[in-house]
Amino acid sequence: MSHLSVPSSTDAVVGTASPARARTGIAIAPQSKGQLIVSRVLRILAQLFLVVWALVVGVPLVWTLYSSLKTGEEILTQPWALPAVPQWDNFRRAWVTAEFQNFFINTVIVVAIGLTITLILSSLVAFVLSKFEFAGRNAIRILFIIVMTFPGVLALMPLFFMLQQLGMLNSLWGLAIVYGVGGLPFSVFFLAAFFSAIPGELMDAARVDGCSYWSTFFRIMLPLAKPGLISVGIFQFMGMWNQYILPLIMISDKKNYVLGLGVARLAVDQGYAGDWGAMFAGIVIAMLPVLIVYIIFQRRIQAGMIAGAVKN
Amino acid sequence: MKAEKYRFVILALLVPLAAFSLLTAWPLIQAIAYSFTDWEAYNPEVNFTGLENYQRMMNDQVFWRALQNNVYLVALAPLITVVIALFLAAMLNTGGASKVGGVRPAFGAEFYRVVYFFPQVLSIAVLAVMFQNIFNPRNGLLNAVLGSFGIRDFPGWLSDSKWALTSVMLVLVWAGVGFYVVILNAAMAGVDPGLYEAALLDGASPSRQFLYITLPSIRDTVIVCWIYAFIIALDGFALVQILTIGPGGPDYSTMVLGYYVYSLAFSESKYGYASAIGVVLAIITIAFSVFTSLITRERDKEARARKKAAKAAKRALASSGKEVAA
Repeated sequence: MSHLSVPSSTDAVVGTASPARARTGIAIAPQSKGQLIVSRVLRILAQLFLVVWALVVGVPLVWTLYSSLKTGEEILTQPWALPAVPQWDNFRRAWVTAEFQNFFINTVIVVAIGLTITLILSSLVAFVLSKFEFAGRNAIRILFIIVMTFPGVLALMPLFFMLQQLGMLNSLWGLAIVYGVGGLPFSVFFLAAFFSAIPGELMDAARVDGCSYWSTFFRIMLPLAKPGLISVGIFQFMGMWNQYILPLIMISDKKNYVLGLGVARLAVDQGYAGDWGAMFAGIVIAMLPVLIVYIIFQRRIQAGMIAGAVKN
Repeated sequence: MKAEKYRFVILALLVPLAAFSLLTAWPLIQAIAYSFTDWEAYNPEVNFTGLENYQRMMNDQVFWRALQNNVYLVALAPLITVVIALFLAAMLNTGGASKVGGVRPAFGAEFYRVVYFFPQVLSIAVLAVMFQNIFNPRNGLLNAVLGSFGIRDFPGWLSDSKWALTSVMLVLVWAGVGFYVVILNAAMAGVDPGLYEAALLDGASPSRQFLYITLPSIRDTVIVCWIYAFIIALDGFALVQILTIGPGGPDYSTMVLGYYVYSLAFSESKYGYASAIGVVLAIITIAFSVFTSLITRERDKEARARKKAAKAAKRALASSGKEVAA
């Protein structure tokens, strides 16, 4: 299914290789010595700028990582210095005393349920929208687009009272359902592109063989759309793992906190307790899973984001 | 056959669409309706008050302050972010001319792209708490870095009302640049290499190549990036809620419309008034989206018209050429 994914930059270069090579022979030749020196200086300057921004982005992250291993005293008096002795106990205090173990498990549960809901529902909707002609098909697309254009903060208060009536406040299930449904517009549009690329003949063939629409969907279409499902899954994982506003309004009981809430709360508590080491350890615990997912899938994530941004 | 198809379509869409309408579309409609009422907590009577909430805004100093802060953020953050991103994306393409034509990526380009993109995957909560510590006047990273350059006269980044909003903007820029570098760099890789070869033959300098070839070729992507950055800067509500003193302070210097809506609804329980301000924020957001899509459509039309005109001119030239020849 590689033809469905975004072409990488190497594909693009290879694609233009043959006609370009013929011309380049002429183009490179007239470069004088002066021009070569200019381009070398330029390359060094460029590296300088690139390194500076890499430091601007990288240093705060690295600083956060190693601060999580310092004593509170070291953090206060020597902000720059590396830890004299790594304080692994910071992580124990964040994990146990500050209850990050609960927040972590809660986050895993909510994200797992939310992801399952969003993947099942959005692939169904995407399949129907891209493979069936029926009245109101466009209306559904327009509904998604309109809702996506509104700033979410407008809906927060009515949503809060509705969830209260439905008994969905302060519950991990409630949170997971809101995550799953909230993820629909993005997932549907992303997956619809995958389903429209699957030839309709495949569906017709399955139908001739006596498959119902449901088994055609589950046994033929879903497996074919797997690359799309994985991409959507990664995006939604990161989005749901990082959620802050929905848990902020929905969860008030500390035993149901997710990591985003836990980190923000820890930053406030830390002012009173003065346990800076545990606070940095808490930040690291919250960001490590997404960083790992990002490092493993960074090509796919960047390609998907480019596709999404350019399409919209 | 047809009946089965419709049964499937209806069954498949029923749950997702019902849940979606209930949890997202319906609250939006409710909020718009509440904006015309005087609903407040513990108020047994909810009355329709027409445009009263909207009139109240006109005399609300906090509302105007928030709007002003939003204007500051949307005017500066997207501009700075996209300019830095354009510059870095161009720097990533400075590996010299490639053997297969076009431009070679700079040494380590893949590494830089991975690092620059990092902030994009961090949660807003992690980002905000991290920067609280970076801006910390006592033991923060920023003052430590500036100190090592010999700068000792620091403002209170988050506690000085002159600096707080700029500090919020710096976080937006820091977190956003990498995303646009990746997008713009991909767009630059797609520019026709033949254009650069022609420029090299003419001896055009790298900066002129950037201004006259790269920039015009990726103009649409730059606009998309700017729109994205604009919408993110207009929101900014979670960042303000965690990062700033107050939140929204000191002295409302970091109050933004999104956070004002949230605090009116959830701290002050002024549901009607909060909804009205939310509606104004929505109108601004939607007006901007419509405005930009109109501009891009207009430009598309213009481009098509120009192409047509060019074709017509060519044809006219060709036929006049024939006439002359005849």
